[in-house]
Amino acid sequence: MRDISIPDVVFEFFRLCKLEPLEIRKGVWQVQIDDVLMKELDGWRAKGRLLQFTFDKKLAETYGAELIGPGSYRINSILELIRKQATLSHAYLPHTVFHEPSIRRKVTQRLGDERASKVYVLTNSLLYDEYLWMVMSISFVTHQKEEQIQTPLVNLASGKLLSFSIPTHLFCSGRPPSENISRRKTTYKQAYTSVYHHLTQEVSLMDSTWAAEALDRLQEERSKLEAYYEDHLDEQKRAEKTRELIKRASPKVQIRAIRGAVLYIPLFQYRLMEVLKNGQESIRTIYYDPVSNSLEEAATKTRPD
Amino acid sequence: MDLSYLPITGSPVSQREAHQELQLPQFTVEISQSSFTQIVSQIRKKQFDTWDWFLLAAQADHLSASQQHFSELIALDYLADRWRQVGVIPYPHQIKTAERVMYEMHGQAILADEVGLGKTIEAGLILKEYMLRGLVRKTLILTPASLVWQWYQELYEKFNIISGIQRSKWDWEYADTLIASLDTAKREPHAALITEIPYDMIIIDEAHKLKNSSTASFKFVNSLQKKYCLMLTATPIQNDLKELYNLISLLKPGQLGSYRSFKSRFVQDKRTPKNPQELKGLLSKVMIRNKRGEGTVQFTKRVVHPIIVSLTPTEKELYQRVTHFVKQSSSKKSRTNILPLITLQREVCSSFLATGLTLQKMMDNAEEPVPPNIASLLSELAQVKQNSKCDALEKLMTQLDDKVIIFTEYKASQEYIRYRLERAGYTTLGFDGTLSRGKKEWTRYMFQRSAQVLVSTESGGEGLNFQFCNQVINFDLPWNPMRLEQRIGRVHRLGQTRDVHIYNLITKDTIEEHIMYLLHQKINMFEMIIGELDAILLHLKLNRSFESELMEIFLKHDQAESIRKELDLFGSRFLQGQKEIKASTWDLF
Repeated sequence: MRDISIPDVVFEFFRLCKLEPLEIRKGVWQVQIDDVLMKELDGWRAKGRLLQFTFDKKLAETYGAELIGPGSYRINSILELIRKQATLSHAYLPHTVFHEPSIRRKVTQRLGDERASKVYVLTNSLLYDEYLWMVMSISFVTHQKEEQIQTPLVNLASGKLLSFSIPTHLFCSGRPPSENISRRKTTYKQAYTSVYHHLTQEVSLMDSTWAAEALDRLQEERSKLEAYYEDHLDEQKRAEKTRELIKRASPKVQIRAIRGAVLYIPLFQYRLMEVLKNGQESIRTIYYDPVSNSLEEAATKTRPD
Repeated sequence: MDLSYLPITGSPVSQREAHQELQLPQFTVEISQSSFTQIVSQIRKKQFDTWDWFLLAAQADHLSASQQHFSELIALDYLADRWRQVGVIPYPHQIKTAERVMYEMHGQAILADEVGLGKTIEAGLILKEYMLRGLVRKTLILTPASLVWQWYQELYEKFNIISGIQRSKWDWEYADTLIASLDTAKREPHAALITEIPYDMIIIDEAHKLKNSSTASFKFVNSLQKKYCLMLTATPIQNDLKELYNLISLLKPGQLGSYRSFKSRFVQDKRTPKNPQELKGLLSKVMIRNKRGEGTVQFTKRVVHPIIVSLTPTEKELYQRVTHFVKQSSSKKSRTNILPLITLQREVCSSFLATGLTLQKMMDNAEEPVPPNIASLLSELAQVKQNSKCDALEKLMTQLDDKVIIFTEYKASQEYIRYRLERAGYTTLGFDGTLSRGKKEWTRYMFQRSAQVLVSTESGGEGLNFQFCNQVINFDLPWNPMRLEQRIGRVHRLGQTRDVHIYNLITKDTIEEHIMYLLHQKINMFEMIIGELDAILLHLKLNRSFESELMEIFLKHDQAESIRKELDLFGSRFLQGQKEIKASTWDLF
């Protein structure tokens, strides 16, 4: 995902709400918000009004406009509302994003170089691979909490987990126009399992100083608790308080899916005639995945019924 | 406009959900299943949202997460606009306190600031910070019943936290942030329900009520399941170091070790600590006490204006007769039965109307035959047409052109004052204990908006704040200085930007003059630091007996000189207590 700035999110939010903020002074905008949206933003007591806002602290003080900046009330209310939306979507990457003749050249050249053969394209067609793109929240919790967002991508046809970032802005909403979609070999549950295995693996390799510190603190508090109960005979209370302490102070990582999208990414299929040096000819079907820049033999791909 | 552009397709993912756990050497990994199950069920139902909204939501996820990395309080930026609107200026000591509670004390602290330094604001700020960081959802706030409404209002106005006020047993489970009276909560069937709920945060106001470990309140709070806990009290220690031990053990059992070890390490006698420095170190890990005069907060001045009112000969005569009646009757009664007489003696300094009502009540309750002196006093009271104190009040009012709060102890006096002032052309409002919470709030609002005078009885002195007003008239003086302090404390606290003028109406040659001498000249209570007064009273165990001790002096002595002499002695005892407190212990925080 590209770098995200607060103004980008705010203006995109207003655009999607079909509102157009007007810049009344340099750096100060105003937009008329109706009752319904205002209630969504500020709770049921709120009423529609003209919202004047700015991203600059000085301008906010000078003109009394609402400040939309890191941590401000307004950015929080907007983010909260946005986050309640769209837990699931689907989109496809149009094949037109790619320059097919270049791909064709690349495929034939690469195969030719590998086997020292000559390769000719007989036919070509287009197929889409289905992916599950997850927005995952990873929270590191002790007495404090820090959240990270990770966006792993799982190819549902191959079950492979890909960790590169996808050019989301190039995608179009909905299913692809073509019905040629690779058959899923991985269930959603399997995909999710591989996602959380991957994330668990990642967090276990991360710097765990925070957890070590929390454990030290927990140990210290636990010994104090033990000392307190030296004089008490109430075993049940001691156990209760110990449980409460562990629940409160032990370090944990919480992994949670926030939202997911089913993505369709084109796969270029080529039926090729390969002529080896000894004159032997063979026909092969190759799939080229432009996202991972990989070639695959047809045996692994089947068309959907 | 409809909200069709907001593509809500599924219920928001629950915070408390089914998960599986994986134990790694240093931490546990909790993997939520239910949020994913919801997503899959949406896929099956083909409930897809548009890609644009989805991308925006994913960007919002990234932005929200990035805000949690701030090492400063995020609530300050969040609340900046709101505070500007409602006129809240956070003081540096409040911000520092919130930071310490967050980063050093991990959400478990006793906030023990002196009265008026804004403990509620500190607690609200901490609560909001935890809420914004997603660490607190279920909160219970336990307060004295009289403060429930104030908490509700402060949380909403200053922190945009919409809470519920507990009214039925169903509320415990239903509301995420609930304010309840501790006395209600500790009773069944409530207590059993509450102890089953795992709270993220518990806030206990006036926590000194939990100092005794054998009380039902202590046991109840000790049984609550809590992740973070804030205890608010201005008087963390009163009489005994054990009370301090109990309070801290309730918050963090073991912080001071077992009671045996605490006693041997830190207790010389119940009021004197051993190793105070070490104890101080341990306390500072769980307790924060900000004091006035430490350079953290600049308070405005209190300017005291005693106004001596001379009674007319008729009023004077009547005053003497009532006093004589009180002395006569008290000699026949036991100590426990003299309360109505104390009231009568105090009322006679306020208004004859109030005195008349009490006498009427005494006559109604008297066994047959009706004491002749009561009847004759009543008929004489009915003859009095003048009230010198009210005349003086009217005269004083002509010199004040701003909002004024007039305090009186008695409802009858309150009504009479309102009648007189309304007649003189002032807009007045009445404020007393019989008003419902909503009406109290409405009265406060109306006072702020339109009326010039608020006439309040003692019960009105508790609970609400009137910082927008800076003039207080004490129409009569309560005999207990704490009650007087509470009256002044309504206006002289954080948020007051002007000097506070206190006008005390004192009737000449009456007990009131002696009271004023004791409070103002002898112990100088008007200049005293707020938290100091209650500590001294508790130290001298005078909190409840102050009035009866004074009454005893007045009953025993007839001559003004001898009363003055006794009051001097009494005052010296008070000042001695003040010295002792300053020199002792309680400099532990």
